[in-house]
Amino acid sequence: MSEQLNKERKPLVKAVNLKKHFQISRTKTLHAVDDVNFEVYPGETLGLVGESGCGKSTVGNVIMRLLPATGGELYYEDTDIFKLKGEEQKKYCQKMQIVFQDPYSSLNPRKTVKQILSEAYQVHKKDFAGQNIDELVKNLCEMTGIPLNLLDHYPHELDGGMRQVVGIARALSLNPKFIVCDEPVSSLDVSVQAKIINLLIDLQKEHGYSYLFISHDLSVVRHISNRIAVMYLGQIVEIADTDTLFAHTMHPYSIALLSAVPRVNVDKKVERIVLKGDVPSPVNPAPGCRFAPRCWMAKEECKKGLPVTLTEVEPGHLVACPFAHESAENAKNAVKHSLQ
Amino acid sequence: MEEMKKTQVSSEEKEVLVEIKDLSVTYKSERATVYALNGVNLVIHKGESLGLVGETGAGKTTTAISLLRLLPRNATITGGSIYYDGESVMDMTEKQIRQKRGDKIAMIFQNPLTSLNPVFTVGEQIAVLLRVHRGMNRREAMKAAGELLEQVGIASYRTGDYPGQFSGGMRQRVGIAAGIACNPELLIADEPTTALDVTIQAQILELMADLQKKRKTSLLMITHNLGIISELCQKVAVMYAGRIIEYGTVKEVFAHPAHPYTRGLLEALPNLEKKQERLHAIPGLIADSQNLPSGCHFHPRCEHCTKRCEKERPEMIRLNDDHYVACFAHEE
Repeated sequence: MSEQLNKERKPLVKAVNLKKHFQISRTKTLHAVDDVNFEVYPGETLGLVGESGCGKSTVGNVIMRLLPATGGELYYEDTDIFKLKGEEQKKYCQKMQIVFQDPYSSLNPRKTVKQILSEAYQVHKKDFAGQNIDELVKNLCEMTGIPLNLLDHYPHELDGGMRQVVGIARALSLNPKFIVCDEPVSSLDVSVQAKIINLLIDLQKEHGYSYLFISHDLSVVRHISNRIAVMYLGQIVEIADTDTLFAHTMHPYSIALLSAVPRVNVDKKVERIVLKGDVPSPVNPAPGCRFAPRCWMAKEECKKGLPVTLTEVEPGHLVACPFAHESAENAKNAVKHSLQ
Repeated sequence: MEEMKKTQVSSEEKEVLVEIKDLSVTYKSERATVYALNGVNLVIHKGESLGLVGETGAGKTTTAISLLRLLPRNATITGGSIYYDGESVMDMTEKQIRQKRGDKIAMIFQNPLTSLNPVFTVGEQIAVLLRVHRGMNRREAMKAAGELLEQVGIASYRTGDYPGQFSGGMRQRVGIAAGIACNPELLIADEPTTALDVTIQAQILELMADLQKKRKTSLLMITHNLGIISELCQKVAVMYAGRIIEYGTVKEVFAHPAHPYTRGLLEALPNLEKKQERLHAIPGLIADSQNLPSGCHFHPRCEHCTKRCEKERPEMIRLNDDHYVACFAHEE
């Protein structure tokens, strides 16, 4: 998906200054998501990566309105769906769906596969008037490859992979345009994971879905995404084309994150930047760059709270670091430095 | 396996620390019997790091805990033997094995939140090992615990803190500090970084590699992550349905995987270096350990399956000094 193409097309979903704060006590506010901006274009996959607690799942939940947003707007085509209510809102529910991380807890254990898959049709009865729900469910099974004899089984009788397929089929039941995939493969074994990823890609090719693919696994995200956004402590620090992000990583955090993944390649050992310390708490974060305390190339002004904004450094490549150009060049020297 | 041991001793002059021979373990529940291990043969040499890789239910953890004789009550060892430094683990008395646990053989568990006791300070939990195995008194042991924490990158004044006051990565460091407290000969790490983030995982792996090098400890690294094995271990054993199906040096096995399952695993991984068109999924499901397939356990999922694979169970075949595989396709 080239950037020129993106410029000509209108985004399907656009988040503007998305915010989600949790009030923990009178003085403490947890900034789970802070001023997150991104666009998802029709038919593309935007990968959202980051470590646990960085707010990536919260972004998914806020978009699906499973959590009310603290601030910001979310446009579906031209409508700000956070402002909609009642029937209007219900209409947009059909367009946006979510696949959850854990296929064990996201399926109701007291319902059969058939009941799970037909539930959405019953909720949106009016829109499916005159259609045979059994037929619709059968179509879903054909699309996703669920054997029809499993329809009368309960979730616990299925293996993890098949359960996740049911989760995906449920998300597809209302013909959505946009699907949030919240770590859909992280609880699965490698061989099953490959099947689910292939299924998601096949479905996208056939039906043109847009995905927001949330994951902590960089290699999975690289495989499935057209563009990738890297999150750190509630903010997007870098966003770019998949190939650009891997070839010209700019933000010091993204560089460290990429270098930290253990690789199977036995011939090529990658130089590694090991970050010191843990991810700091997102409660009442200090102004300025949130990565500064762990940053391997932080300058005096970074630590003093120099404001950072996501700025375009080349077409379609946005980085939230004023020294990004240096960091990319310094990466190699710094690697040696931090290893000493 | 016998031959394998000999060749390796002669070629690398390494002493055998652990030898598991034809080990079979079953778990019984009211309704079913789970065949967790079905003839595991494995050798760990002194000072070597061995990675044990496999998917959920392959028997990785069962192998490790049988070595420490920590199997739960519903488990039965139905056959085979385990030798630790020449001694039969199964013939040891409870007292003897207790002296080994935590002293000669230490284990780091997957979930640092559940493996530490929340009502004791981390210092006390490390110190108790030293008091039991080294006969130190409370004060000496606490001081030593502080030094151990320093070694894994935690300030020594934190010995008085409880596990709940540490982050996930730091708790795992505490687990490692406890693991290395008595300077064990063998450290078993059961998915030590699975619950951690990649940047924290990188810290822990660096720490373990460092400690292993310095102390010349043997390491049994259990993981489903092939990347970790490739970076941390010299040898790798691939498990499937309670058997080791491929064994060798990491270099050999990852560069020339011989078993169709190992090949499948490597191909199913999305590559970080370059974008592939499509992932290769291994057809079928992981073998049901309550109802194992006949012959080679992998045959229902194997694209090279022959009549013989359905009936006979392949034994380990030597490909070269650094590489062994249990597959008929490699017989001369």
